[in-house]
Amino acid sequence: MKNTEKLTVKPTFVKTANVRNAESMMDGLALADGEGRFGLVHGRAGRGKTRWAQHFVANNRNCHYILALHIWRNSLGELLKRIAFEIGLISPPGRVGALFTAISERLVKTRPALFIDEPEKLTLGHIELLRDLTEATAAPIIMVGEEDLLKMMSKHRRVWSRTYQQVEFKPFGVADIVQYAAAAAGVRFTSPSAAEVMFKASEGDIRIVRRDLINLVQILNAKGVAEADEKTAAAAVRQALHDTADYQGV
Amino acid sequence: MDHTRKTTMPDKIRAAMKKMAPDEQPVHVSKLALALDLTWGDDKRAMHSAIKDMVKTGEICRLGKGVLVYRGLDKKPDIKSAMWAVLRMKRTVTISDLQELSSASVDYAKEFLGMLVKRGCVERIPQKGRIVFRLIDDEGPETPMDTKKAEKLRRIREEKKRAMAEIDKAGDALMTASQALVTARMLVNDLDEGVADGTE
Repeated sequence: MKNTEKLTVKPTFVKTANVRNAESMMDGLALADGEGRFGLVHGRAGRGKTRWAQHFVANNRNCHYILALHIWRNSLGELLKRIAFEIGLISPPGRVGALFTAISERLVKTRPALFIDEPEKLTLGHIELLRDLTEATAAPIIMVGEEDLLKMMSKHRRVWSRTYQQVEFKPFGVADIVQYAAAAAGVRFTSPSAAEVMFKASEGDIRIVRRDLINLVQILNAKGVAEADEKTAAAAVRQALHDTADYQGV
Repeated sequence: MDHTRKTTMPDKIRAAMKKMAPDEQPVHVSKLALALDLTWGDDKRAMHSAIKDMVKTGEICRLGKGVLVYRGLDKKPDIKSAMWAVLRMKRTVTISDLQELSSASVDYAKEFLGMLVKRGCVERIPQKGRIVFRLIDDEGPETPMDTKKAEKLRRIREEKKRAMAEIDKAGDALMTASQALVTARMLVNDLDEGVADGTE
């Protein structure tokens, strides 16, 4: 069927299975109110973990996001100072002990959710500090990181026993691609095998799916249709690889 | 034994704000203190401390000095706050990032980023095929307000208030004149008709 309207890829946050599982974990953490708890979101790069965390923090009250920095490895104080800044503590104390106390006093009152992104860059000492913080204040702390993070936390009983739930962000699946293409661009696949072509090319990486969808939309607009078959999906993937090769000077 | 939960200061503030401003209208903190019947310094200090905590959780939003808006316990942050949060988290954003992560429209995102560029806390960087915006001065978690726009709106409201006062004044003057006219007519009608008209 001919499509007279031009398709565009709109910036859309799609609630994939990974996102639904993570939000279910957040609902559970909220119910565990009164107890110190970690939530853990992990998975390989490119699966949308950080994007989800940033979307959640931006669209929910009483949440704070902190990206861990490698340079903090030698100082617990730097992590605490960053937390103090995010929760709005004006003129926090300089000494680590007093700073921890000031932060705890604020967190006990406001009980926000703290998202720590890439905590695998930090040391076990930092993780223990965060454990003390969540135990002292009952403010949930959500750790978002790659595969190393799961190993780091599960190795230490005191930390692992405080972990309420862990959610693995799996590769973007065929169903997620179908949902994303429909929500972001109004594109329909004529058969599951068409979506599978994009799935195989992306290996579940959401960034590659997005790139391929842009090419797919261009091809569909040229044809004047809104439905993609296997051949069209393959052409979009080839186009993306061709563009990448051009860019790399191959 | 009385098992009823004692009403806390945040509960009193919530009830008062909901009553005074059910549609999220701005409320001045002095009016809130009056509604809560707080006159002494110690009582007001408790109110200010509770407001500070409620601002932190987002239940109350501070529009300006002493001006509060009650947002409620379960409401999502407004889009401007969401955009500011995204910018602080990502440090470098495109308009598309703000659309996706904070559900802002293109125009609103452009307006907000434009305001921040003028303010000097964001820089606009053209790259091949797109424009990115980089946060260069993180002012903290509270959303920067568009003070120029807020000032303009405040001026318009004040002028409107003055104009309405003039209309009311003119209305009162008309009422007075109308009453004087009625009184004068009655006096004329009550005049004795036996008064000489100069024909005798």
